[in-house]
Amino acid sequence: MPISHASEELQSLSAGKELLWRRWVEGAPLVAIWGQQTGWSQSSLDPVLTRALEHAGRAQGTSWKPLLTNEPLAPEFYSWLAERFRNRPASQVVVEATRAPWCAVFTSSIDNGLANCLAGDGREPDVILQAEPPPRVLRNTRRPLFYYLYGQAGQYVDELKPPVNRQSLAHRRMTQASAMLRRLAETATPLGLVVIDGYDAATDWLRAEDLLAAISSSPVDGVLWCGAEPALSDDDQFTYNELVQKGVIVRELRPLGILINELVATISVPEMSHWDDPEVVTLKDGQSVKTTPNLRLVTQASTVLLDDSWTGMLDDLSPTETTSAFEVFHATQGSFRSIVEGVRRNFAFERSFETLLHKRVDQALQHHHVASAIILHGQSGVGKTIAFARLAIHARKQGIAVLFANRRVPQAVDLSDFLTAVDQVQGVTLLLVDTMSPVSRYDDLLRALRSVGHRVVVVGSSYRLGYEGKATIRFVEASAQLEPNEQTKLLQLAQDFVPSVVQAVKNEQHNEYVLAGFYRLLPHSRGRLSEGLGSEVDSTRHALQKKSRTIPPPMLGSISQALIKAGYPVTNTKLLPDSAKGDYDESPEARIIDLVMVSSRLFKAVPLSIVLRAVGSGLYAQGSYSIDSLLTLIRDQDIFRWSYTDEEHSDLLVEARLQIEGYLICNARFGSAIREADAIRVLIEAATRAGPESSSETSYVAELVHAAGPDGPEGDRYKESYDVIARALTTLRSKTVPNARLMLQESVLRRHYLRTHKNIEQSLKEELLNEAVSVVDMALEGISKKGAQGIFASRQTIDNLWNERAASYGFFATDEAQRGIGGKVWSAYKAAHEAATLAKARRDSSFSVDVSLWMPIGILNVGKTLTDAQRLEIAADLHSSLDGVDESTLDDAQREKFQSRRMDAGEAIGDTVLSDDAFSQLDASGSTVGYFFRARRLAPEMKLDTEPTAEDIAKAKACISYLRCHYDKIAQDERCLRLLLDMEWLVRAHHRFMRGLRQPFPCSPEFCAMARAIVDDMVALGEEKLATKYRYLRAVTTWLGGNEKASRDQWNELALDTQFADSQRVSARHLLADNVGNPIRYRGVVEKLLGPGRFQVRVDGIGVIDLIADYFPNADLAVGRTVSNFLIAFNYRGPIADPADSPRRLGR
Amino acid sequence: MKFELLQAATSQFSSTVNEALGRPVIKPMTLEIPVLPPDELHFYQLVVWCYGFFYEAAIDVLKEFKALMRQGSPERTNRFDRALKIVNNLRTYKVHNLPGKENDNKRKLAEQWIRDASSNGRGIAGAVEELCRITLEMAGDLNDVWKSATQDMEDLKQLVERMVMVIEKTWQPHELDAIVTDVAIEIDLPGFDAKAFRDLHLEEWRKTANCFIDRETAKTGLRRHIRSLMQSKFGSS
Repeated sequence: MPISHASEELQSLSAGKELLWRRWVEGAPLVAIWGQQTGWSQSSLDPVLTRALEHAGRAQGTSWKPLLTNEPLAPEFYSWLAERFRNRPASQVVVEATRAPWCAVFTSSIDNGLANCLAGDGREPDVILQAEPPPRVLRNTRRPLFYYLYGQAGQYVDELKPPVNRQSLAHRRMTQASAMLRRLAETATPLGLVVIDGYDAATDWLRAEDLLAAISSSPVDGVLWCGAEPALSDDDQFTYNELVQKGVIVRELRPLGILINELVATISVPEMSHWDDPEVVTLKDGQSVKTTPNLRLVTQASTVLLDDSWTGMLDDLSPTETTSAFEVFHATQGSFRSIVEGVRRNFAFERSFETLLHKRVDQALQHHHVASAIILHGQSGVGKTIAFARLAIHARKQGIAVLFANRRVPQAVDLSDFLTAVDQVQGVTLLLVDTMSPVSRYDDLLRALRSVGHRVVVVGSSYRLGYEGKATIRFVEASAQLEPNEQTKLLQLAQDFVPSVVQAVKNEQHNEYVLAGFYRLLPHSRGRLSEGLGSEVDSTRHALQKKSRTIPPPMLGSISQALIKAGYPVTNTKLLPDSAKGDYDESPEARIIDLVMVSSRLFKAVPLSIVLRAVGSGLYAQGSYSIDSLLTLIRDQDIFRWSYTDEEHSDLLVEARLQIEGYLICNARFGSAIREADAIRVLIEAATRAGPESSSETSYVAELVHAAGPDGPEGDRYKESYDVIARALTTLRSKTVPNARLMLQESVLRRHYLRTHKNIEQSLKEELLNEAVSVVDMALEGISKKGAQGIFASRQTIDNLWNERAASYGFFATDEAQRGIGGKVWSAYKAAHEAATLAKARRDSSFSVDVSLWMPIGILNVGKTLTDAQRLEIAADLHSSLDGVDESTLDDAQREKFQSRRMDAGEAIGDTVLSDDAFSQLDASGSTVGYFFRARRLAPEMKLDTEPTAEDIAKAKACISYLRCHYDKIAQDERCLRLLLDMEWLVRAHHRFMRGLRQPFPCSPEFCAMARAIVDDMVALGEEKLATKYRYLRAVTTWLGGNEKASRDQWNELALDTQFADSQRVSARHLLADNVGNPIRYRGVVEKLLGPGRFQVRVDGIGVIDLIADYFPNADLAVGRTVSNFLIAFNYRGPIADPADSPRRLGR
Repeated sequence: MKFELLQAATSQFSSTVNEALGRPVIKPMTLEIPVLPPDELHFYQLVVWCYGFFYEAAIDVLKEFKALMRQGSPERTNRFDRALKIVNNLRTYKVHNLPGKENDNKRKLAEQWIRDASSNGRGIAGAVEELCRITLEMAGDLNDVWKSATQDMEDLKQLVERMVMVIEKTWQPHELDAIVTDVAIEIDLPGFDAKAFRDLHLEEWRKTANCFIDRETAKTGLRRHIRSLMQSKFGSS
């Protein structure tokens, strides 16, 4: 509808209709309370009602009130009633009422079909019949929560059925209805609208006082009450009148269905989401991916998927609409879709760094199988998100699938289905992650995705990184300062769209905040524009803009002063409240600003419910806050923006308009990191819905704590308060369901506190260490339990917990060594070493490797009370750990750290030459460490990336000879067994074991038997300690030994354990080779199709292997056909055919 | 899947409902029957036929059937809605390949649907079969809904009463167009666009019609109301 029409229509709206329209357009939470008359009226009675009263033998009536008397209804009554409801068409008024995007409905009706009326276009109601346990989410527009306050006809269990007499009605009211209604306020949030319809106070089972109590805390314009004036008792009438007078209740005489029908028919409201429409992503070469609703649901829980509609036709805009849309684009920074649309309309100029970014990404897309994550870094508000939008358009035009995430770094497993769909048509996905996270998070994500062979390129955003002089090509900096040609472009942009601000822009063009504060220079950026971030720019938004109301500004003087003082471009003082009105006070409203700003400083939008709980419960502020002042802050000031966590509108988030503003305001307001950390503590303790893994509050707390920790954007800024934050997590755990991710952080932060505070009191140190160790053990124990007592954790979290356990034990042991308490040091070391070994066996990550290095180094350095034998044992472990590290798997930073550790290790180990006497003493005491050192001394140096020389092989032979000679002794020593295997491999394969890809694997039975025997001895020392590479070797040798089933089981387990964990999981580690190392060529017959493009091939005399059709583009693949001239490779999924002439790096 | 099965299911549905309501509320299908082989032409005819049945012949009762269906499982409602939308998209794509953002989206969805249904070497015959399958499922849903809602005699009576009431009160746009056109001739308004004028007043006139006890009296009243409205706006010659 054109603006003029919308505006005309707006003039004629009733207050109620306008309120509903406004909230609907804003995308605010809409919550309905449907009484028992919903859809029906005195003149149009529900036909089922009359029959029900007759069937129950009750007096005739026009409401459900007479149904319940002191006499109970017959047991089968509600089953009969359910049938009647099912066979009566829904009221058309109700059908109309369902056309709004409700996120929850509370009803006193018992009509079992009423909830189902919300179905259509893929929407499905989520029926709630009991108050406890509370639902995991309070709002959802795709699966609206539908609370039956008084039960539902047709249920079999008594507790879920409606009441059968007055007594059970009272009981149900007390136990269920009241508890459910208590969730109303939190469900609607102060931003939302509660709509009451079909409620007759005189006859409804829901009592007026209960209903009025539920809505009494609503803000002005918070409740729309449809239908005739309610007939209320004196007390209720008084409350009702007061709420109407205050403007909390807005009255509307017409039924809700009629209102909605008129709104949909006559005024533009956002179209309902078509949840079950497939979305099409067209890719290169005419290929495409059609996303099913389920696929979309999983993928879009954490990312936005750019389907073809994103790059389809743009609506024509008139010049006025264009200007307005331009201002909305710059003032709201809405959904990524609206940003992409704005970029397509040229509302933002292209920054110079974008050329480099596109070049890097194009290169990465060409070499997606090896490309590192690309990082766009720079301070907030310099155009990174806009650059991502332009990059997304660029990629889509090239037929690349694009996913965008901006709330949190997504889990690889959540994206895997979509990426697989793209992989299967030979497409590549560009994953844009705009979460301002540390580089390591993007690297981890890419590694996880690559572990399953996805064809993906990751581009992440980060705060400005200090890579002076060392920046690799994967880093692209978005500089704050505009180059001269960019200044010209900015002026041109202003000239094209808002000429009136050209002079103001000219004055600020050298300001480093000019882009961040550009919107503050626009004439209309204040006011209602910051609302409604969920919907696209459309004509109604322009109409909405014109209707902004004047609301007195709260006392925010110090905020504007802070921004002005920091040189922020605030030329128009009216844009922010007048500083003369008063200083920033300590009121609850001011505290709310503090909480939002501190979270925003760390790039985290905070769930509104947490902020309200924090202030409302007195955790952070004295006195009660005015909900209307809060709304003014959120709706009418440009310092906040609000948005939803996902497309289904499950949770509402609030954050600073821009992170840089949050940063500047925090600096001015708090004055110290400790005070900021205290605000973080409050936010954590208020997140009482955190706990369940799927809860958005859990994710928020986990992300906030990570951001406040040493790996966050502020580094060690909050180090003085790590203990406070950790203990806040412990307090939170006492109030809610334990969560493994949060428990992990409880330990991590305590450990970091100890790391950064060397001189704290011993008692505090011990206390913190004990807390850290016990919380991890508690988490692992909980994870091992099944059922309701168990704790859910992803594989990655479990791995991290094992790593954390190793680190905490390491700290404990180092501390004991430092204190020099005799025997305790050794037992603490053994426990820590065991923990590190278990962690490394689960996942050979850089973290677990690092723990296994720094812990023994630290103990050797400070453990003055250790005996010589103990020192040697520790040194041997350290040696063995160093030998096991494959540097080629480390990135630059990790390699640098490893090299530093190796130097420290050298110094810590010192001279390990053993005298015969010392050796004999060790041997006599049952220690094998002497054998290890003597063998190690015979072995060649473990040089990196170099082929072994003849001298190396000769040394290796000597080492083997020594170890074999004492095999009965060393068979119990895992270090010696690892060394023996390494040496055997070197001598027989002329390569180092598990270094590099596509290495020869001699297929002689004798070689296999040798490898198998050593691995079996390792297994005898503890299956749980067997590292991944040895499990792989066991699977290969089992397969070569002809035991296909056992090897398949071993490989399946290995594949599962390394999924999303090991980036080289699908890389070809070895190729079957002859005794001189030449790969052997095979032929086989295709036996069956295993999946899209994946076949099973039988190789005579060897066994069955997988074959991926993409690797053999010229082969005629079909069941029964022969394939020839291929090699047999192994990865962590099993044996696979490898093209002989054009090797592939990755499989699937 | 054969078109004959679809035809039989819709015929059964039509005759059951018409018989129960005592009037031909579902109009007989006079559209061209898709002819074999299942090629492009067959698919085109099938799309037109399906649209003709669900969006034209059965339109008077479909709204009430959807309301009845909504009392049941959400999965069935969603499935029915989805299939109905596919028919609409295909018709928009095959018959009215119009410009515009909404049509553009429908076209893309229809194209993708055809591509999927024709994949794996099935060609257009696959799309024919898939369209027959989903529309047969729709007809099956309609028959099932009717059957279960009419097993109890009281339920049947209640349902028939409501449907008759709704049908008699619903004024189709073309019925109102006929009155407007007549009045325009009477007051001598050459070139008058009856449809455009009706669009402005549709809901209001429908509400006005509800003030009358039956259709005949409503028609008389409406005609008088429309004539008065047109004369006050445009005068009379």
